[in-house]
Amino acid sequence: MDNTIIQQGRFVQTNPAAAVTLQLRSDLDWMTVYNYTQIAANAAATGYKFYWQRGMVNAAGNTTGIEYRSNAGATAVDMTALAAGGFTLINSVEYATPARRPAGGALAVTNANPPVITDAASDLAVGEVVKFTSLNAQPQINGLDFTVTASTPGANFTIGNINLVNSVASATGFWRRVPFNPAYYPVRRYITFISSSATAGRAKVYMSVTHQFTVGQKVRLQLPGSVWGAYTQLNNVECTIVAVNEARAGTEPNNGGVDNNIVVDVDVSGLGAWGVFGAGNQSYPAATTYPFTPAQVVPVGENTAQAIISGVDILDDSTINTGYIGVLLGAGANGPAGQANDVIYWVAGKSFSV
Amino acid sequence: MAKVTEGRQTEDQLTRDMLASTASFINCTGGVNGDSPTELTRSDVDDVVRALLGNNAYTILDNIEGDDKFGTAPVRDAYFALCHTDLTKDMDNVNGFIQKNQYPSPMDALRSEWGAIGNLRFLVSSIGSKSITSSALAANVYNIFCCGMEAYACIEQDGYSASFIYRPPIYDGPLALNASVGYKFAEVPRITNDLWIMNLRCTLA
Repeated sequence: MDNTIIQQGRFVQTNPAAAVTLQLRSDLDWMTVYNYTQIAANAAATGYKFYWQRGMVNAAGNTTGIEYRSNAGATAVDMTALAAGGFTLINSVEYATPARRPAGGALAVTNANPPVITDAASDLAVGEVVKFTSLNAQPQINGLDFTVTASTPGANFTIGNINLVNSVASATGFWRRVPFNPAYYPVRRYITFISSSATAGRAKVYMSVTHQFTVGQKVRLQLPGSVWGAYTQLNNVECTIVAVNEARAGTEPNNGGVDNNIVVDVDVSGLGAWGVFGAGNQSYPAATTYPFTPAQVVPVGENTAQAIISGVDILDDSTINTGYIGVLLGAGANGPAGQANDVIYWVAGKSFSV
Repeated sequence: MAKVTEGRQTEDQLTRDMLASTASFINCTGGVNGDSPTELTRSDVDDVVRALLGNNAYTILDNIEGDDKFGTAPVRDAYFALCHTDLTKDMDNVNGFIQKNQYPSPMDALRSEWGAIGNLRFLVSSIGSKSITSSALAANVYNIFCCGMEAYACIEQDGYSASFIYRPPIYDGPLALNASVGYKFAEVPRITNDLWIMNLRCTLA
């Protein structure tokens, strides 16, 4: 029948297990998932098969599905409606913005390097991106995105790509998830710190969110306005990325993992230390400068010569639409994405008529 | 007709999303709403115009010469400012705003145009760019793409833009039961010179 599309595939669950996103460009109206590992093991009280089709929504309004679950003795399979953690349709460009958290706004942000955010209800994973709003004492980072660089769910999380030493710690405010990158690559990023590279004549530029730039790309530094001190000279400067993620030093942001910076062919040794903002020499413009325009790294293109010298693709700068539609499969013993190392097979379809 | 509109609108949305992802931005800071960015003010418009002029961006539209008519004012040569319809009320309140019906020759205004401030002529659309709850105080941030001539392009990879495809029922099968309608295109929006386009970000007053 015209307009009917069936797709299939398999994946192996990671260890530890996590929800799995399948990108299905042709969209889907129904899906069946088989947990081959658990079926073969004849596991007890575990989901063997899962089915979902459009319209399956529980009383809470969440997209769910049907689970075929083995009983406690693994002697029979029962059908049960999933309450949560089943199938969730995804559109990475058009989605409902997650709510601000915590509900009461009692959010503590330290003035440290790295800053630690205390929230007893946090459930973030390392690598997720959050945006802060309404911080009472650190408005200079309100509205900016940050990658989570460490997390203790139910307690706190860390944003290791900025140094907030000598700012005033916040006692109230909110964070919310930024679930997807902007639609197009390469993406503009916020600058949080600039210093001299270990190699003379080069600058090391830190960004708040894990950058996806590659060696050979040309970028433009944007530091508009008067809040950037001597570094305002870098406004509109075009440069080439000659290295990425160089080891940190001194007062540079401490994310405890891979240092999130690019090294560019600009000499900033004559500009003095970056961390001279506001009272007590802060490493980011002080609260009193709010509102201002954040400094940015803006993608421009590719330095072909540098790309060839570095042995990288000369088309790394290509503008790419990274948006996608698909489905998020929940993990766990009773989730379609299964448990650690499970082998999962799936079939999804787009029907002629729904 | 809906599909034809949808195809063209999708082209616009993709271009919008590309500009929102990659273009340099300047936050409005001249307003008094306490947010960051603030609401749109004349000083912010002047800042972005100065930046574009400093980057040698060509204006897109010619000036409209003054005329001896009540309530009209001459309009400068201008860059395009592409923005959301939600901003119309705020624009009306910006110092120096000229409604398009105040142009000496209103027929020179574009259909989607709302008016002019300094060297910007504002074109509004209900699918204009906005970033939901993204300001310092969690308000929506509106992206105003201020662009000079040839700042960005849409590259038609197969030599055509959105094409409307209609197949009458006769092509469906022996019983000719179903017609089909759709559109397709292979097109990439791309900034051609990043100096010639600035995203002026603001919130509502």
